[in-house]
Amino acid sequence: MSEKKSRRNFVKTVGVGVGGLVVGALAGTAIAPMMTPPPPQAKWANPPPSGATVIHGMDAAYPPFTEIDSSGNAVGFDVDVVNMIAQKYGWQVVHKPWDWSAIITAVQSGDLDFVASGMTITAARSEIVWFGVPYYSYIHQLVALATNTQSKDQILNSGAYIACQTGATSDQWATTLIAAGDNFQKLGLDSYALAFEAVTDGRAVAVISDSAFTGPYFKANPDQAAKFRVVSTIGGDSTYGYATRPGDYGLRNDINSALEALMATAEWQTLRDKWQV
Amino acid sequence: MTAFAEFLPYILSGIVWTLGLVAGGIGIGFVIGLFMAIGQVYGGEELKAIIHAYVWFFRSIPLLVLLFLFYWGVFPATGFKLDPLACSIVVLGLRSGAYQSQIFRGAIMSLGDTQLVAARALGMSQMSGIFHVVLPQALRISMPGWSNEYATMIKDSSITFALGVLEILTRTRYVVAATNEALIPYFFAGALFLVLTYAGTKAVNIVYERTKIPGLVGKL
Amino acid sequence: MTETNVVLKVEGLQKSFAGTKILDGVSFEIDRGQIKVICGPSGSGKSTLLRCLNLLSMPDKGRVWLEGREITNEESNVNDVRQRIGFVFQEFNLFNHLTALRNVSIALEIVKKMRKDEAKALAMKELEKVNLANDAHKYPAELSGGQKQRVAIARALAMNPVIMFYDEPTSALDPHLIGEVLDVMKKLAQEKLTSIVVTHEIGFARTVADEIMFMGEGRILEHGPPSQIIENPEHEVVRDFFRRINELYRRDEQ
Repeated sequence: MSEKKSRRNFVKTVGVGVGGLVVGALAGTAIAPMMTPPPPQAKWANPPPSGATVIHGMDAAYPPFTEIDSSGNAVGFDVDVVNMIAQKYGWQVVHKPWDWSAIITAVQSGDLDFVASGMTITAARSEIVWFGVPYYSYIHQLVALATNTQSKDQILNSGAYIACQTGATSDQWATTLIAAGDNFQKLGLDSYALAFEAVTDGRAVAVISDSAFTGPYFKANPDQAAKFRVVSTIGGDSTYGYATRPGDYGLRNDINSALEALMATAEWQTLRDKWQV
Repeated sequence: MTAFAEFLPYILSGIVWTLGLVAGGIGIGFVIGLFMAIGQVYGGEELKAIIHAYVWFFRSIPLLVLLFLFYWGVFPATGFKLDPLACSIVVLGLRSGAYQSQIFRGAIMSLGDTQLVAARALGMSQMSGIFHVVLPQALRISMPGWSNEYATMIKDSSITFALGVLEILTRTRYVVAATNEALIPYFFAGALFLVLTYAGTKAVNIVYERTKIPGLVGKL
Repeated sequence: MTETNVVLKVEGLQKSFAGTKILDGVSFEIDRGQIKVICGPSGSGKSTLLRCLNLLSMPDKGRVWLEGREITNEESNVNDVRQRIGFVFQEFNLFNHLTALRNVSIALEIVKKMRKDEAKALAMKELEKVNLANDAHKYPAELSGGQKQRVAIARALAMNPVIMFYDEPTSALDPHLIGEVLDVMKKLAQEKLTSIVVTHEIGFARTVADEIMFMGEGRILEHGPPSQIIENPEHEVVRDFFRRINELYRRDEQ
């Protein structure tokens, strides 16, 4: 009965194929936690030469530091500065929008070469990436409706919702405050713009934001600015820095010298005024 | 409102990506699903068990988790470096395969075994019979369920924003940030998904009507 | 009779399903050109027997030879065997997604590897033989039961089998449609197409069959010319069976 044999062979092949796929998937998921994504071997240990493609990772939903214009091009304060740095060294820079929650892993894995997108320098992040020179400082703020006359302590212990941007430092502040004993509920939104809208909608009583956002935001939208008032600051100064992979000396040093040079010029203030940061 | 209008072309250009994800996902899912359905109906016990495990795996784990699992775990671990778009298509395809296999399996089983028996009685091999007699009927019967899979896939494609794929939802989010408006962009995106879903299911229906054969229904 | 005249030889066929013995040692022979009818009560294994003979079911024990070559051993190719046996099912089992013409021609293309136009021409010829040439383009759902069964017969005939198996071909038909199918079968019998027919149609058996084999308890209880089996059987079970049928007809006539 040779016919049965050929059928069995076909079925066996399909079975092996599907089985292999499943086993591979399961094996991969089992192994993966033990393996960090293999980082490219110090890709930019030496400075990127002129003409090299350097990939700039950014959160496209973080105006005015990084956002997109109506043609889909990356624009923003950080984008302008990155373009200037790239021009100085002759790099072909690619501005790549990336999901904020995965952006650091993307640098580690080599999908991105550096992040310049209003990324706060923190101790936790510094263990995974290298930061360049701080180029902007800001402070976190508690912002509520102008009609809200409560104090900082009252709002933080009101038991109501306070909005923040998920994955951002404001998110971490919210968690820290709650852990320290404040009584409120965290409402995470996709972006600060949505967080503010949550307050005007009444879904939250306040926003934990930062001056890096509110400064330009209120300057650009005076009508919005009129609706809100900054209740108080939270914590101390924070700074933004560019993040690169550990080992990419060349890239980081190039970025640092260019940034430092730029910050010493009048052009730096012109840029800040342009984007109202 | 005018600010948003400027961004319209940007969001609309996401349609190409969304459709690309859908086509790729459904295409891969079709091949996988068809093979698995045949295996489940005509295969031996070990094969059935493997397929059952596969289907159970991809139906139980949320798509978002699957995307990250594969992008950060499976692919790097096995040495494949796939970009977000390719990875998304593969994961969408693997998952769709699990669902489509059940659609096809149901359709094949609704035919009963008499069709294949008649084919074999004429001297056709098992594979010939399945390919020439069972599948043409089963695939036609599957179409209504299959158009449902399309509708699901259109929605699932938007989850790939998590990997930064520049499809409709990702672009909408960027526009929301750039314009500081939430309602109008999301409203527009929703309308866009509605149109795409409607157009697609309508297209499948037209194909279904064109290829319908009088009296072709599976045994209940 | 030389060996080559024996189209089908069966020896000691046994088959059980789920512990129940359906066939308990069936043996017989059929010569070229013979028409043999199998009668018997339901559950006596008639359908199972046919399906074992073309290997749709695998016999547990026993041997079968088709045209002198054994088909129940390891070397036989199941598909080849089935090509040479035409099988007509009780439920027709036409391919629902194909027209009548295509139903007949598809196996010619796929199994016999005929060219499309050759297969189509041959299929038309077979449909003409069963008086369905005008309905060749219709789908099974558009055909009556009698028409469907005639297409099924044409489909089996097209493969040029050496023997035809009919598994209760008219049992699923409305009474007024039985005649057209039996007419086709009679015509084929007159052309001496070797056939085994499982049927309850005693009239058909009486006029067309060379021999009736009566099945009961998983075996052939008695076999012989129709006149003997129907009018004057030896075996008590057979006698009982036909007596009841005769009574039924007589009661209806009164």
